Amino acid sequence: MDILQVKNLSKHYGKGETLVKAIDDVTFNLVKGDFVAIIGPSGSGKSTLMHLIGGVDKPTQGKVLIDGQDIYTFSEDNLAIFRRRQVGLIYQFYNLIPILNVEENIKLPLLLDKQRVDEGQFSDLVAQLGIADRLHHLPNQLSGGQQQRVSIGRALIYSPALVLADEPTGNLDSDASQEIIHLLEECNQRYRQTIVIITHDERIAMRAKRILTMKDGKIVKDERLRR
Amino acid sequence: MNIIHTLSIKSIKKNKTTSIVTILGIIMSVALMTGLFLFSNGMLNFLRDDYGLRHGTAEVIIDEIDRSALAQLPHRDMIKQETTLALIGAEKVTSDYYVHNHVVGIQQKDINTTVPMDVEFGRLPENPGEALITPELNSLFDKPVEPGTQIRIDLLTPSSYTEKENIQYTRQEKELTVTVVGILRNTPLRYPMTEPTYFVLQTPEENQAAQRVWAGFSLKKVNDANLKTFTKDLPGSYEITEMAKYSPNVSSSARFFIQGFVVVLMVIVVAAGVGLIQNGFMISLSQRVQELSILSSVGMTKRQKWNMSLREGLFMYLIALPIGMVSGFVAMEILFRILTPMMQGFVQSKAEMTLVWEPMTLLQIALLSLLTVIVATLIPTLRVSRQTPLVGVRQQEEIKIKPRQLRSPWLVRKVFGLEGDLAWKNLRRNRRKYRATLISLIFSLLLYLSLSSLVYYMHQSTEITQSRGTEDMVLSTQGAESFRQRDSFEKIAQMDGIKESYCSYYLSAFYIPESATEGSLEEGEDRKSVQIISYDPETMSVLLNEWKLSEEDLKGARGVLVNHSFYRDDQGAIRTEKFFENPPGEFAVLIDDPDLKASHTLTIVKSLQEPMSKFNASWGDTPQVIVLPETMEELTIGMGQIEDILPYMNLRMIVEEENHREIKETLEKTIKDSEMRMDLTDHRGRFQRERDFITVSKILFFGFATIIALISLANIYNSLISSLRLRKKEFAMLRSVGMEEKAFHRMIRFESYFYSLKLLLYGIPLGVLSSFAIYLYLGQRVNVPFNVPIAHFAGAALTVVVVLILIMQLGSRSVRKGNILDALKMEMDL
Repeated sequence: MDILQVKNLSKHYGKGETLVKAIDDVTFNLVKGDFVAIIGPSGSGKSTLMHLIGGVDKPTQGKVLIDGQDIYTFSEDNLAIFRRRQVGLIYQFYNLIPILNVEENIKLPLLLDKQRVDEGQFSDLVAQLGIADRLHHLPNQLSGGQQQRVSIGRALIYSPALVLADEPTGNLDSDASQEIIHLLEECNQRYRQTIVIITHDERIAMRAKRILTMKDGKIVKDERLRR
Repeated sequence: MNIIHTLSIKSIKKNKTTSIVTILGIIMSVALMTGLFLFSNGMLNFLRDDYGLRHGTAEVIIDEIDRSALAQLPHRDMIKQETTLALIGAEKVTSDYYVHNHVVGIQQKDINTTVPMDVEFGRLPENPGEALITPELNSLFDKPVEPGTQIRIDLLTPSSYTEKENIQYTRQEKELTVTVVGILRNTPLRYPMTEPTYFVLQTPEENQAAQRVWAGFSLKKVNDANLKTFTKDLPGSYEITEMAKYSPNVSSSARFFIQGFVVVLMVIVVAAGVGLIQNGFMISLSQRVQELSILSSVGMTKRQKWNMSLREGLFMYLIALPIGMVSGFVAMEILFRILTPMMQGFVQSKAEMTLVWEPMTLLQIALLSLLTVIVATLIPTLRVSRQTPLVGVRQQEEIKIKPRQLRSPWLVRKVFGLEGDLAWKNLRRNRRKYRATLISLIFSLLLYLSLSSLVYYMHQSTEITQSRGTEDMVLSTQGAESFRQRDSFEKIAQMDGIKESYCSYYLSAFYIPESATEGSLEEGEDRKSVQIISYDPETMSVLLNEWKLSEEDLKGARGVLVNHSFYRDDQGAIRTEKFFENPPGEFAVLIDDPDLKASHTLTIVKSLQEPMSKFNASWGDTPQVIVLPETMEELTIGMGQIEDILPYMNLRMIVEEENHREIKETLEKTIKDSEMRMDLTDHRGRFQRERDFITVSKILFFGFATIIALISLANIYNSLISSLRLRKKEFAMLRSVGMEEKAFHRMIRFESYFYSLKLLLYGIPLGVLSSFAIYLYLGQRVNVPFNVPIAHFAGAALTVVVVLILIMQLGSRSVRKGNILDALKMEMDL
């Protein structure tokens, strides 16, 4: 079953001579439980594609269907609620809320939705992330790796259909990077969550089940890896 | 806890400096609003109390009504208290000016409860038959009435007590003998103001026997509707008094004026408050752009963002509201204590300025300040709710500025170097960010300059009035008989505490030009005014010495002509006027006599070519002839019917400041004890009252302007400090490429100068325009030339520059601290 359908997606900036096609007529599907790596040189449109899939940016044309719903037909508020429930975003620079502690940062999507937090699930998650003893720390009291774990926790707490990670290890050392990828793999296997990861690191890409290669706003290669 | 709640509180805590300054701004706004509400209530209450002390507490007065009709009044159930003055009768009056003397009955129970009685001298009546009389009645007797004097009144019943014409009188069978125990200063129940009246204490039975009464009513509930209902079917003429008009629920021009004034000030406060709070919020939000977009990216809806921003405003409001209110109350209590004696002196009252408030007042303040906060948070809140998630995700703000907007004039670079160029570009870049603070500062500057001009014109008008005479007090009298007794008049000046004094006497007269014919004189065409002036012997001797003349020179109808006089031109400048190109050797003088019978000839022995600067007996465009007192006496002899009005006598005194009150009281007693009718004009007292009024105005105006300026200062502090903090990374870059401390200081200083310059370029011309508008409104009326209070303008300009430099230096100090690398690594959210 396709969890994500991207149809003729384009994102253009500027006009006439200054027209830049950041994403140029991209079409692909993802099935539930997929672990996809998007690779490509700088400026190839990887991050823009992820922002469009995550509903934080709007395309010039084309559609993005998640679980069969065209996300760009939603109102702004409904799109926000959709992001909160269906998409987990992980960024290179963690993007944690500096005034909230670890626990609050992780629970943020649920709290915004006024949902009761399943404390059992939360304990399991923080234990799995290895930050159970850091729950009352503020982001600036954590290392980069720890901050990224919190960011992953926040992306996973609502058990979204899709987890989008934009160079989640780009700011981390080698050991921390391995740990983060391992965590994402575990989530993919344990909870069958669909994960899309953008990376420059070929070793990380090779750990995915499928690799999409981008160049000049287009997907130039789509290969499924055998394990 | 609700996450929106948590985020709001944590945001306030995180942006501590901005939050504290914003809270301070709200506190000042609330305090000012509280102050203005209390001032309005306090002032109206002061006026109400003052009226009550002078005229009694009745809200409605029926001028003249039959007692039987009084009992039949509609809506009697609305009356809380009723007071009646019995209209006993009238007495034939000796003066043409008045219709008759009024005889009014008062009751013991009403004295100083509903009928205030302020005794100028003497005492309150204690027994039936004792009476207080008005100063107007006292002036009609040959000599002032001594307390204890018995007067037999031949009572008449007039057809009307209040009409001035066509009154029929019926002689009453009884006579009334009253004992005058004092002179009244006020007009109880506004009984015909300035009428000669006896207020006679009566027994309740006597009072009830009077057929017609003057009635005052206090209503149970005073408001527009009740006053309308109560007065709708009242028989005869009635008056709604100031007691009602100053009441809280009654519309009146006095209330409208005071409250209108307060509303204007309130609008200024709200505008300043909105400016500060809005700017504070904008700053706080600009520091949290990334945070807000992250929240958006993890699913925070527009409504939730709106909610969060509004809550922040409400939290700060809840912290500031009680502190602001208490501060307002405390400040007004202190202010009222300072103002009360000044106001009492100014309006000659015993009323006090007190804090008057109701729960509704607090509610109004709370609602108004809440409205201010909501309005102030509206735009920032809208901006927050529109924040897209992309800004945070991309880790950078969209830069919308265009390069040509940052181009600096070559002159700036040439004159101020790279630092000046950087400072200029930065100001251009932050143009929009600084706009709100710039406007609020210009506004404060304008307010201050306008108030300075206002106070300047008020002050100047008082100074001009005061410059017309240097004397502190003038004792005046008139009449030939008094002039003959001028020795005793002159002796008054010998009392202790009078530093300098002189007596001047003058006769208003006409002189006859040589060209005049008998016919033209009779028609009054060729009459020209002249003043015949004389002085006490001592002053006369000083003047004669000055003129190198002897007393002998002036004997026998000889005089000195003062051929010049001071006058003030249209611009208010003092100029001199010359009367005769060729001063005449003789003056044919007609004393101010309608029959033109008393003609004398004065020989001019000397003509002065300068106006009299000292001992100047009068101002005006009339030549003066100074003669010996004996000559003046001769001029006044045989004047027949006009004898009583000639000549005018003035004793001008400069008194010791510390003994002013004492001397005034002694002089008042002298007047009372003297057989001569004299009036005392207390210039010093009046100047003091005018000065008090200006001081009161200054305290209010500048107090208000200072708090508005403080609010603006808080605003600019917020803007500049946050702007500098946001540029920490940029400063680190400059330092990393080799900008030394000195150059950095210079750059910051240039920014302050450019900012001040921009502010003054708008503020000063607007200030001059406003000053001119005030001159058109006020200056012209009091004949003060247009003048810009340069010292105030210079002071304001200097203050602006110094304050801006201080804030910039303070802000830059904190961003200069620390390691360059740390600052370079700094993220938006730190």
